[in-house]
Amino acid sequence: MYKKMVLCITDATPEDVIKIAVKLCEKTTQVYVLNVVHNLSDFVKKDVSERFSWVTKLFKNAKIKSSLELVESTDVKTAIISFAKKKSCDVIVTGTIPKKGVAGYLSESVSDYLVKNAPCTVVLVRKAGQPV
Amino acid sequence: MDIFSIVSILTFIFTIFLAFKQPMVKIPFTSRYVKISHGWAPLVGVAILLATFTINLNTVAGGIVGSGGVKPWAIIILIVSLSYVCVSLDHTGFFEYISLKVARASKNSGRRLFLYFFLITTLLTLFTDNDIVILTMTLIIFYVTKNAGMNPIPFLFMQFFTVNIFGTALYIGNPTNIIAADAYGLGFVEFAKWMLLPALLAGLTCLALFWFLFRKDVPKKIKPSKAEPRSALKDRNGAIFGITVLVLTIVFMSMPTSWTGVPLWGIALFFCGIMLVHDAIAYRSKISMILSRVPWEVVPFLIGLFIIVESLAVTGWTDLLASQLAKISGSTIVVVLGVCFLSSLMAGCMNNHPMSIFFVRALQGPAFATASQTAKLGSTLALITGASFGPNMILMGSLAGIMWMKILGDKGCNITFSQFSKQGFRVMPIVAGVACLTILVELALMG
Repeated sequence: MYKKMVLCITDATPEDVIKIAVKLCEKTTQVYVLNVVHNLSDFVKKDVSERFSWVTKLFKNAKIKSSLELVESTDVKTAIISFAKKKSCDVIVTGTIPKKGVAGYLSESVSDYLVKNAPCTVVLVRKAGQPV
Repeated sequence: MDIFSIVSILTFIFTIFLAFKQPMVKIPFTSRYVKISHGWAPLVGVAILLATFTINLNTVAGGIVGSGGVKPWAIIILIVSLSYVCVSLDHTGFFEYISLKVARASKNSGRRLFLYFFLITTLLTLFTDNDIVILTMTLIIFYVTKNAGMNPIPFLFMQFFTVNIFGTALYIGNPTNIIAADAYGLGFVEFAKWMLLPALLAGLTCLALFWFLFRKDVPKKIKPSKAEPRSALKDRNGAIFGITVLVLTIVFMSMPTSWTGVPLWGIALFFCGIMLVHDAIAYRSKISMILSRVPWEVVPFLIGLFIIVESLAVTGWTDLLASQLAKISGSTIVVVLGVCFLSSLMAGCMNNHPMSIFFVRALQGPAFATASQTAKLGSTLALITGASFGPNMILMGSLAGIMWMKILGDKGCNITFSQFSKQGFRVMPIVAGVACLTILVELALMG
């Protein structure tokens, strides 16, 4: 099992992703719940803490150590990789956002970037029935 | 048409594809990947053109040094310098602060909030970088509308469209303005003299149309915003300093060059330097983060595109467009409407930067030289309009559009290309028509 996990969350992250992350943890696993923000002000800190309190609550209920981490950057994918390296994490867990049509073809995929560049294991969680 | 003409146009199309797709390419014999970002894509195009002997080093030099009043290096210095001033101001939290202030001022009225967001977007777009306005305002609008229990879509569309429309008002509003204005020799004040009124009337038309389309989605009563604007401000003194530098930059840029004796790029670079020194002292370790937010990729992106378009000019493609435009240049009405709508659609299909450079080379070409001065000025003003309005019709029209869609996707608010274009084609032909009509009246009265 994993010792240090980065769980990437956004407003679009479904509960299923968190549940899978919980299943991948042992009681000793340290989980960093990571949200990348544009500007790290007091307003953002308060807002993000309130919005994602349910995530840390799920880990607390499972008796797993977790902390909400905010990183200030405009480049989400490289911020995740840098954070994982800095904390010497051995797994990155993230959801996938389905994008169809032209938008899907042209949009840059964070999960694709993570798979190709992460220094550790990457777990992508796709909701059942969700398009790839 | 020879083989080199075919190679140059195919390379141009391939470059645009690469700029949008930004593929990850595996480095042979390693497990590493390299991303061909939008900034570096045109340099791949240049490499192809050099490898196929379609261009030589003189064409490359011509693309960097420029011709006919367009100095790519000066444009790049201007864009990067202004971006730095705005990025630094954004770092202080000023944009979030002002947006939350506006949200609070609207109290519990959804309609007032819609109008206030329109006004603040307009104000910020006029004087700052439109990419930053999109990046910051999108997040704040999403936050405020969600917390007020409203559908964010009408507000988001209004914000994106307003940014692009008012981006045409001033010389510094959009890099494409600078490209087209420099080619014609329009200075800061002269640019505003021609473009301020069309932008204002087009913006008001857009507001009225959006209000008509979305009026049922904007509730009369909403939950008032509880967010404390001051908590969004990370550095109050830095914000005051940044605003002062920005105002001074605009004031000095609006003075005639004969007064200051310094070209516009020099003024922008000077104030950027002042901001950089301030940030180095005030933020120390964080300066690298601010610098990383500057859109450096615009440097290889524009240089590469100028070189590729230079190859299109050498192989006759820009003359082909110029000869077609020359045929309609006898009528100012037809040429203004024609250039505006054609450039809008072309911007939507190929992105507004390459479109603008391509059109500028065509308007400078010998095939368009016989057109009257009014037709040339009208075409330039129509091109400025089309370059900014096109991204409101088709999301691919600007890289900011792709960024906007991505920000919203990460928030779980997916807007498809077809959804976007549905609104764009409902609203923008009328808005563009109003802008063109205003330009035509101005040309008739002042031209």
